[in-house]
Amino acid sequence: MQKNTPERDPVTLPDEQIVALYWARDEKAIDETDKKYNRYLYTVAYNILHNDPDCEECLNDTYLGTWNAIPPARPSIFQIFLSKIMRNTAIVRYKKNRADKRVPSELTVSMEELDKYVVYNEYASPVEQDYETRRLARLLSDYLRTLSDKHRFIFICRYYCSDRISDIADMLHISDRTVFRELTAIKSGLKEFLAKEGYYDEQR
Amino acid sequence: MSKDKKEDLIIDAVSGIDEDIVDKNLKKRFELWCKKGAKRLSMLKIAAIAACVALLASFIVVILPLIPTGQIPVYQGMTVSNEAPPPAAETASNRPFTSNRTLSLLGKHSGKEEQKTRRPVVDIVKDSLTVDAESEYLYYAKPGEDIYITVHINNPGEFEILSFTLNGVKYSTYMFEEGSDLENLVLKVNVGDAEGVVEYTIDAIKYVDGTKIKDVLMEGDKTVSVAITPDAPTSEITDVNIGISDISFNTYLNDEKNLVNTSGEDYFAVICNNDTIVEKKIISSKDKTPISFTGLDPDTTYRYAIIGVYDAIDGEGKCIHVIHEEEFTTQALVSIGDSYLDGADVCFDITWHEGYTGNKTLDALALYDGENKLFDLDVTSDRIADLPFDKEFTLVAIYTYNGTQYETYKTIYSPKTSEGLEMSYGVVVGVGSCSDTVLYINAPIAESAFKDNTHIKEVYLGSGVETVGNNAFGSCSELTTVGISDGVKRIEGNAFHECNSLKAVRIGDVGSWCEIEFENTTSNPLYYAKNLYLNGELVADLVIPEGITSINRYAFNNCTSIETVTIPDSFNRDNWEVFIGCENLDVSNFVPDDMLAHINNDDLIVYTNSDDIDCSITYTNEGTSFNASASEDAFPWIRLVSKEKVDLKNGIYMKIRIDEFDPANEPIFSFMLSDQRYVEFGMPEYDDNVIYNITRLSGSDGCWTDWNNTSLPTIIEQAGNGADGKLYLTVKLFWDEVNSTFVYSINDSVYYPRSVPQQIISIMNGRWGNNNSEVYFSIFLTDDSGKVGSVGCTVLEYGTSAEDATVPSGN
Repeated sequence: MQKNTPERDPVTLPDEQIVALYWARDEKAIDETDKKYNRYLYTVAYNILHNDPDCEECLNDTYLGTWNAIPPARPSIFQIFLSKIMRNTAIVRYKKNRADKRVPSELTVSMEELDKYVVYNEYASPVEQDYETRRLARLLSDYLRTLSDKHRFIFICRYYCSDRISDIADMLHISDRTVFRELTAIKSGLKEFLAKEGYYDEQR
Repeated sequence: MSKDKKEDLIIDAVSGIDEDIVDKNLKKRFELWCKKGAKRLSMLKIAAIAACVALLASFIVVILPLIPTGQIPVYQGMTVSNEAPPPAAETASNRPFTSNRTLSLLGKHSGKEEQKTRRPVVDIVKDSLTVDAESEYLYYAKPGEDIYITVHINNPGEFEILSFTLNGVKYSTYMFEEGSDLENLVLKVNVGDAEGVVEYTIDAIKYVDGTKIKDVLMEGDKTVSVAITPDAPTSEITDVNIGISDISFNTYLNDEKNLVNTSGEDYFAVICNNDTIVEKKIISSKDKTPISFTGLDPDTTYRYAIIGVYDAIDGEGKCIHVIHEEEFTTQALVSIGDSYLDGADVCFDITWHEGYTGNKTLDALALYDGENKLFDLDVTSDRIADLPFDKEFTLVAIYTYNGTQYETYKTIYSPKTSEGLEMSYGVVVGVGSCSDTVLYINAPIAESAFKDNTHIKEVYLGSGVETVGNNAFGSCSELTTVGISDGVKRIEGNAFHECNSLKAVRIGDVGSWCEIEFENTTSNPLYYAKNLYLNGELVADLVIPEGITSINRYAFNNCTSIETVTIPDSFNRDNWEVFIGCENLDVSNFVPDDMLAHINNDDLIVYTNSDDIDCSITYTNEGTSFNASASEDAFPWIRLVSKEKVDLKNGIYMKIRIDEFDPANEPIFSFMLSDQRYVEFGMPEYDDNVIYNITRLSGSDGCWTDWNNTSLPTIIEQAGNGADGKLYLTVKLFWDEVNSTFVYSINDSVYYPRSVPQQIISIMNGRWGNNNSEVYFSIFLTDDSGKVGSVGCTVLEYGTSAEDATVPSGN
């Protein structure tokens, strides 16, 4: 089997034990979570916020949120559970920051990339907006399922995690330029797919 | 405001992408992120601090290379090629799952891989070869040639590029070549006839932002040089020979101006994989030189290239040039052919390279479902049974070649459920519109679903068929083969009743077969088919796996293909009757010592330790005695089939076999043998069971009378047991010759001779018939001194006490 040892403090606990600590309401749970996932979670927020103090705050909010969620939750993959709480927390913060016109983050840039493909009707009611959002989410999911594993991965990294191009290139051991090329192809594929599904047809 | 709302829409839509897609990729991202390690973090921290500083200072766009500068497109540089660029890579849509996984077991795999992005050979070589005094990269072209200049722009905002100026000439979008996109603009230019270095300088790249035309930021080199010379070196490659792990060819180099020697460097031949050099060799002479490379991975695509380092124009600079480049694929040592079906077994052929003379044995063979290993297979296997239907799996073969382990894999497909079957609430109720003669069924089967279907010839029951209903395949007269997978748990009565054409039952696992609940004899198709096949081969030597303690009594009925059977210690040896009807099987090696006989509805097999082969069997059933003898078919529904001497481990026994023609009659539960009562295994010893008496017609160690059944009415009505629990009878026994030394026994009790031929017999505990109103008894007479002719018995009186059973004196 491929070795997959992360470079981290070797004294961290395995996930099942950490989750067990939460279930036991042992406050060591948060320490152990922090010891193991601090750096990773930080980068999740950083892609969205680009701001040290905000990221620190979100980290603490995430730990609190996790403490409150487990129990009753018993996450099967702890890392994903944490990442999602962190991401949601950071996005809430991001939307608040937006009003103050703070520095645009990688999230801003990546969402702008998708801007031209998405239809937005500012006069629609909130219910309709909500429907449109879910519809788009479904279409995105359907489109992603048509892609190769690699393209799917690149899409999720770029638009869900707001990773930088160079980060994606590093992870996949390819050049930045290649990632650009792939993204371009993915985006033009998305446009075609959405057009085929009639997404652009219904203009209200 | 509405811009923010639109951003919200996009953020929320992306957040709403299906969880399974997100989770899978988050997982992968985490793994890859961990491998990157702490390195990145320090850069992130730096970037974070810098971002904070920038924030404090003022609203300044951060210029760190990690973070793109907002949306403004940025020019990065130009590259030149002598060939037109390939069209943009297509997104893989609906690519069928091929034999590739992102994580391989060994990290070293042969077998076709998904086309990964390949770095150009020239980039790879430049990374690994260091050259003294490397100058600015020079491109080359022959006079009069067309070259393709690619302008590289970092354009995350995806703005349309309008035009640029090259050497003072303005080029607009419509002049760009095929293969251009928003970040790579390709222009075709003819270099002209003059020799020498030509410089191309780019300027004024314009893009469209909404309605405004703006300038692209210039960051890369604005100039690129191309050397025009007819004399660039060329090469000729001949006699290319590709093997499993090697390639050889002859090179012939054309270098009229002797550029390479001037530069002081050598010519090289290199082998590259997707992103690095695998091996490099110096080409020592420009004349025909043989080059060979070994130690390559089998069935892998590489590129070989001839590299020269030189500067064609002024000898001052030295650049790395790819003189020739070619893709090739090494031959496969092991390849797995397409899977095919044999019944419901998934078969595959593993072929080894013809020329290979080494050891053709795999190291391992395993079956995967996606990334999960299901189980290992024996390396000589050529098939897998009992795979769940309608799925694909990956078969992985691992082998060693030249001291290195490789793996190759192939997608294999399990059988597909037949289409058109009539379903109701997830259960198959009929054949529906399916016209196949070979059916693959993967859901429970209802009663009579295929009854009287004379079209189907083969049926394979997959793991989804947990139950088969009554008469499901009743009277399927054309059915020859039934395949039963390990998912089948219960087959109800008469499921295969009268499937007289059955020839084969195919299974994949003996243990599962032993645990199937067959409700009756014809629930098991083996009863008709008689031949059992395990993994495609006829079972002559049956091995019951460890851990099986008992087997359904109908499991192996009539299976004549079995010749020997190996039983684990866990097996309850009292259960050996499952092998009834296995005529070619000698059960003697596991008949328990104390169980020398067994009975079932169809057969009585008795092992008796007398070697007297003249014997007959007498038994009573429903109050009537029947006599079966070898010499006559005395009665229509009982017949002595055979008597033979059998060597069992405890001595010599007699095997007596009876056929019962009419199994609808009362079952025979027990019999008597040498004063010993035998009951059918598993039945409690009811006193009212029909008793068999086995009498010997003649014998040297005693004379047994032949019971004349016609004079014995053995049915008496009874109104209940007496207070002492006994039923009393007065019987009159009469025989031809009076002999004082006879004994008789009733049931198990032996009575000693009485001279008066009229006895009061008490029957202990009652022996009730089926409806609690009839009593059976039988009387057994022995006479040591000689033959006694016929014996008769009359019941004169009966009652619940000796008094009640007394015959009135007037008789």
